[in-house]
Amino acid sequence: METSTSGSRADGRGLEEFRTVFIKTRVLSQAKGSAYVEFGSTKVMVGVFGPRQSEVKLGFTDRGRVNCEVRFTSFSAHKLAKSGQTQSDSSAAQAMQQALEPSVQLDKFPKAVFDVSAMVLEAGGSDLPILITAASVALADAGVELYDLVPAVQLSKQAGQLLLDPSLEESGAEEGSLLVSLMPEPNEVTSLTVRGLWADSEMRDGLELALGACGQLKAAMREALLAAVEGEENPEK
Amino acid sequence: MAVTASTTTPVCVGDRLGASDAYEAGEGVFIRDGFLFAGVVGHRRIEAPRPPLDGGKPVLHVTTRGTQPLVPKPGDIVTVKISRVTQTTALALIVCVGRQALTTEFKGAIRQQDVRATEIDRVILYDCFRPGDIVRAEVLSLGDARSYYLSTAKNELGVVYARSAAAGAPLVPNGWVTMQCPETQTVEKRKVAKVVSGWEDITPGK
Repeated sequence: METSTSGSRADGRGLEEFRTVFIKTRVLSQAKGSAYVEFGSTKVMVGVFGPRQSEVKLGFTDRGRVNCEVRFTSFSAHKLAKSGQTQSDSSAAQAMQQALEPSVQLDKFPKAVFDVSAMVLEAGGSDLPILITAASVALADAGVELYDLVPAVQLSKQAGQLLLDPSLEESGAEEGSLLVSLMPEPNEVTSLTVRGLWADSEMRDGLELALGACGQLKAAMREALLAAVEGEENPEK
Repeated sequence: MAVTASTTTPVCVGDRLGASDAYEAGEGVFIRDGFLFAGVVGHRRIEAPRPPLDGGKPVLHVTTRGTQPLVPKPGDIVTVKISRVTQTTALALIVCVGRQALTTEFKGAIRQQDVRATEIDRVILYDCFRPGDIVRAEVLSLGDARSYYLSTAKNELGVVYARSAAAGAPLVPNGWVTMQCPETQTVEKRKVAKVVSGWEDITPGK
C-alpha cells in the first residue's frame, strides 16, 4: 500500500506509506470469527467468541457488550517477558473496546457479550491500531452486525515530519504520536489518542493524513473479507 | 431457497446497497440517512414483496454463510433444559432457539404464573417440571439480569422429553398432565406439550 512522497525512512518507505499489509480471515476454526494481520513485522491474531450471557453483576442491559482481551506473548518483544497479564495488556484492551464498540449494532444483542480475544505475536510498532483493525475484521468475519469496519492508524511526529505507521524504532525516537480509529462510511472517529505537543497546523495535517490512511486501510480490510466470501463459493481453490 | 452466485453480489460491512425509498431493509441490512447499508459480510439478495404487501417495495437482505450469532428474543420458541425447580420458579438453560443450537447456554426462568393459561395461582411447579426435563417454551421477555422469562402457557409448549424417576427410561406422554414410564408403568405428573409435528405448528411471534 503506497501513497506519495519519496522515501526517507530507515526501511526505505515514504513518509505516508504503510508497511507491507497482510490480512487473512477464518484462521481459527474454533472461533466464531477470526483474523490474522501483519503490518511489516508486527503480527496480531484475533478471535471472536460468543454471544454468551452477560455476567449478572453488571446488571440488566438491553444493549449487548464487547469484551476485549489482549495478550502480548512472552516472545513478542525484544526481551523475553514475564507471562501473565500486565498493565499494558489491560490498557490496550480498554482502548480496543472504546474504538470498537461504536461500530457494533449492540441493540441486536441484549444481555449478551461478545468476547474479542487478541494476541500480539510480535510487537513491531503501531501495535494498538493494528489490534483495533484486526479485531474489526474478526468481528465482521464472525457475522456480528456492524455499522462499519474500524480501520485504525498511528502517526509519529519527529523533527517536523509526520510518519505513518511507525515501526518500533521510529516510535522510540518520536516527539509525539497520534492514534486515530475511524468508521469511514459515516465518517465518524471512534477513538483519538494524542501524545506530545502538537501545534494546530501539525494536528490538522496529522488528522488529514490519518483519516486518508484509514480509508486506504479499509479497502484492504474489505478485500480480505470479500476474498473469504468468494473462497467459499468456489471451494476447489 | 437456493441462491446462485450469478444472481447475488458479495458485499462487505458498510457498503451502500440502495436508497430507502426503493427498498425495504431485510436481514443484515440497516438504514441510515435514507440509504440502506450492509451490516454483515455476505451476498446481497433481493426478495420480491410478499402477497399482503403487493406493490410495496422489494426487500433487500444480506445473507451470510453458516449461522449468524443468535440471541433469544421475545417471541422466539426455544428448547430448554430444566436445571432447578423451586416453589415459584423453574430455572432452565436455553439450549436452542428455534431450529438453531446456541453456542453457549443462556439462563431462563419459568415463573409459576407462566406455566399454563388457566388457574395460574394453583400451579404446583414440581408437578409440571422436574430437573433434567427438556421443555419447549416461548420467550416472554428479556427478564432481568439473571434470566429470560419463559412461558409454557400454550398447548404446544411444555415438556417434550423427560426421564422416569424410577427407571430412568424416557417417559411416554399420557395426556395433558401425565406421563408414564414404559418399564415400571408408574405415572408421573408433568405439563405435557402436544407436539403435532416438527416445528411447522409453531408460528413464532414477531
